[in-house]
Amino acid sequence: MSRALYIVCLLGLLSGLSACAEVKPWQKGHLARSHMAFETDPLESKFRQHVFQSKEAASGGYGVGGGGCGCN
Amino acid sequence: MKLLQWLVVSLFVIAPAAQAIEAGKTAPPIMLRTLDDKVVRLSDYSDKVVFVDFWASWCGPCKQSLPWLQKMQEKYGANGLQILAINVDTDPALARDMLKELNVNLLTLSDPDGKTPETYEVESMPSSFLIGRNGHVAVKHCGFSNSDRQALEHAIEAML
Repeated sequence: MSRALYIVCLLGLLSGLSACAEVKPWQKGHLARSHMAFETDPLESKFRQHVFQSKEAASGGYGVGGGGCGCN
Repeated sequence: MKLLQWLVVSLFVIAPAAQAIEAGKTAPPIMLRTLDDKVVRLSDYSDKVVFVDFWASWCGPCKQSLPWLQKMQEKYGANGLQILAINVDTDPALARDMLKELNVNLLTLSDPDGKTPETYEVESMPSSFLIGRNGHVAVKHCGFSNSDRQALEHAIEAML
């Protein structure tokens, strides 16, 4: 086996040992709590997004729908 | 060194082969305890059409789906429909509170370890699987909204 292939395999394996773990849909109970949201007031958040959208001509990227549970 | 090389390569070769649970596949077995600690198996209802619904107290759409499921159980239970509501809360007390709040008394199983949703490869909450009398998944449904009600009810009716 070539040394290059061995190094590629080893690097791939090491990258899989990172601390990032996938949170499954049924494990999002803590993430779905209201105090885990970036914005505490949904109405104010909507106004802010509207102003941002008008000024910057860009929108989105404010989190996930359905309270963080990955639904809808 | 040679052994280490083969070990590294074999870790890639023996990668877990994901077999998503889709319509037409055999439904994996279920054995869980109800909220009042009775053991229930999917095979107990082999003569029925089973609607397996994965839900949690923190899931917004589940607040809509559970009362609808209750209606379906009352409407089609006599025709052979059995709804198994699998709660995935780590604290089953949260499930009890929500069922009480929604006035729902479905057959509710508790899976705080999340082994069943892992087996069924649940992609979102809620997720549901309609299982026919042959033990095969007929319909897999992710999420829940008002527009889903009719299609799901038609699917249930067609199976009974």
